[in-house]
Amino acid sequence: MKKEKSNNCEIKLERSDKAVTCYFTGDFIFSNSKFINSYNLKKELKGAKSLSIDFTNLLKYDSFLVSWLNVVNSYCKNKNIEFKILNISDEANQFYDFLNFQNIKEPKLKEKKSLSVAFFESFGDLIKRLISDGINFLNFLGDNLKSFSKVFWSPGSIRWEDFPNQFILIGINAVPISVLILFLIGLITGYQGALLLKDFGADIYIADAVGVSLTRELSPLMVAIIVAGRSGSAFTAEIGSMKVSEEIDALKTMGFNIQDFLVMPRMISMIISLPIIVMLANIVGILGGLVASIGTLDITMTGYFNRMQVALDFNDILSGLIKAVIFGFVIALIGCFRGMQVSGGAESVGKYTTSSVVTSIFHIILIDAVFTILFPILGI
Amino acid sequence: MQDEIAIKVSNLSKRYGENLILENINLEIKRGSIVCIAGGSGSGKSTLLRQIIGLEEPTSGEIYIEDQKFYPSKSKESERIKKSFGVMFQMGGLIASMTLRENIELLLRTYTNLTDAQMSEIVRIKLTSVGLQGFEDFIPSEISGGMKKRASLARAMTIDPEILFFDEPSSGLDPITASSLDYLIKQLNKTLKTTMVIVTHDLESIFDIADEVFLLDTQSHTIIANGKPDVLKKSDIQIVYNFFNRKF
Repeated sequence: MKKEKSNNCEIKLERSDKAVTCYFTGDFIFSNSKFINSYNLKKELKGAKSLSIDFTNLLKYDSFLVSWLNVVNSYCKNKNIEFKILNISDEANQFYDFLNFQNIKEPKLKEKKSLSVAFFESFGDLIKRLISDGINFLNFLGDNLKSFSKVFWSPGSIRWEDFPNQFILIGINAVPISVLILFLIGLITGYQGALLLKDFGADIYIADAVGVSLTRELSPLMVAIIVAGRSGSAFTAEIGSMKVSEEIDALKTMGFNIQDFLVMPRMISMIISLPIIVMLANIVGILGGLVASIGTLDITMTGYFNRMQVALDFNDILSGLIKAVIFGFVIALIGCFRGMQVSGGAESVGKYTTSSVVTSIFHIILIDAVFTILFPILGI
Repeated sequence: MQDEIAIKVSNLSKRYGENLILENINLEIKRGSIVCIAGGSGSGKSTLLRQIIGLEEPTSGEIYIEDQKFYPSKSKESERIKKSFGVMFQMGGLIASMTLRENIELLLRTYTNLTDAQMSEIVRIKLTSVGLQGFEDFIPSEISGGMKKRASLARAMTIDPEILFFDEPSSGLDPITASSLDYLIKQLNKTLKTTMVIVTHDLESIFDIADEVFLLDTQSHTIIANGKPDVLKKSDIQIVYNFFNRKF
């Protein structure tokens, strides 16, 4: 007879010919699962024709007993071993039956599908989702353009009370991080440009390189990316949470237009604040370029700014500001749209917040590419 | 503490700043019984539950669970006692990013040494016992409010706690689902001998399942009556009579 023992349980095994009997003494509970599972019953069952578990001395038990018996029973079935439970108390037996056989409600089972069916189904679902996403986005865009027109025709319908708060959150609070990053970008552009221009003796043209690249491309692009990560995601999370907690439904039932009430204050704040941040970023970025130029090239501050006046024309600055306005519109639109798509719970808020940032950045870069081609054609 | 007492609360008070929520609460809950903590809105039912299950610390008083001092006690000690009870929250409290299987397995992986096959078996057993077999791989957002509550109950029962706490189990449920949940609570109590503590103001549930009721009063912030629901329905105390007879 083989015997294993822990603090409050003991397993004894008896084997006669092809019949194995397992005597269990003590507590068959979750806290003894480590000891009970360390006993390799499968090894003992090799070549056996029957297994009996004797519970004469069973003291305490819980669901672990039921799960253990079920797993052993199913193993025995697979190996054609006869399985028997012996001397179990009525109470323990009732507990076993209750957990094993009760079913208070007829369930609705998930259909099992083959891998290929599941693949095509999920591919179809993806296409369906993309199409419906596109249609919903166009609807949302249309609603917003309609609301946007009210700014001019009936400004009273927009919730202006929210505007100062949003302007501070989106605009003023984003200034420090935006200008810091653009200062560093100006510094990097200036430094990299200086290394190249020095070889050609064209030191003074560093002002052209820094000024034009910053005002036309880098400032609007970088500021838009920063604001999309900061404020666009905040729009989604905020509106998404409102949707989850049924605040949006409440507003709708009270007769509020969600576009006028929630989207417009954010969109207008974004459209106004982004060009302002870009202007500040332009100035600080040019100063970053100046620091790099003075540090690495043989030019003075006066020389840098004199050349900057010649190199930069109004169109360079204007093109950057036009982009900033469009980027602001797109970030607010996508941020709010993703927020409105939230459904279910907290997980959905996280999912759409991530999606909002990714979609915004993708569209910012796509629109920037379009403008880069379009502006020279338009003479800007 | 006597052997048959599962929970004992002595002189418990709770304040949020100047705001008094609970004052001098004393109660004893018998092992294996179904007890309802009832009271009007704002009477501090859920606050009392949050103190008993250790989510908040009382301003003063003592709490004993299964003969052990739960509050005040060392955090290690209270963490150990927490394993002896399960809680079904009002909104379910299921982890949204996990399937029902993962929600249940989380406890098993943390507190037991079960094999994967045994864990699967426990998941099946627990979900079956609340009528959710076949829903193992659903995430909470894919099931209805009533199913979420039942899944939350399955999770609370995972490692067979000695006490189960319920915060407004029938709120937001249709009468049939609410009554099936009541039936389930009664069955589990009868078969598994689990002590059930239910915070509710649903009179139908109280009369259906409670062995004993503790009634909290909004004005005095304390328990003004306790006993069998049928007895309290005939109480001489006006507030108690009004509550159990839906009078205002």
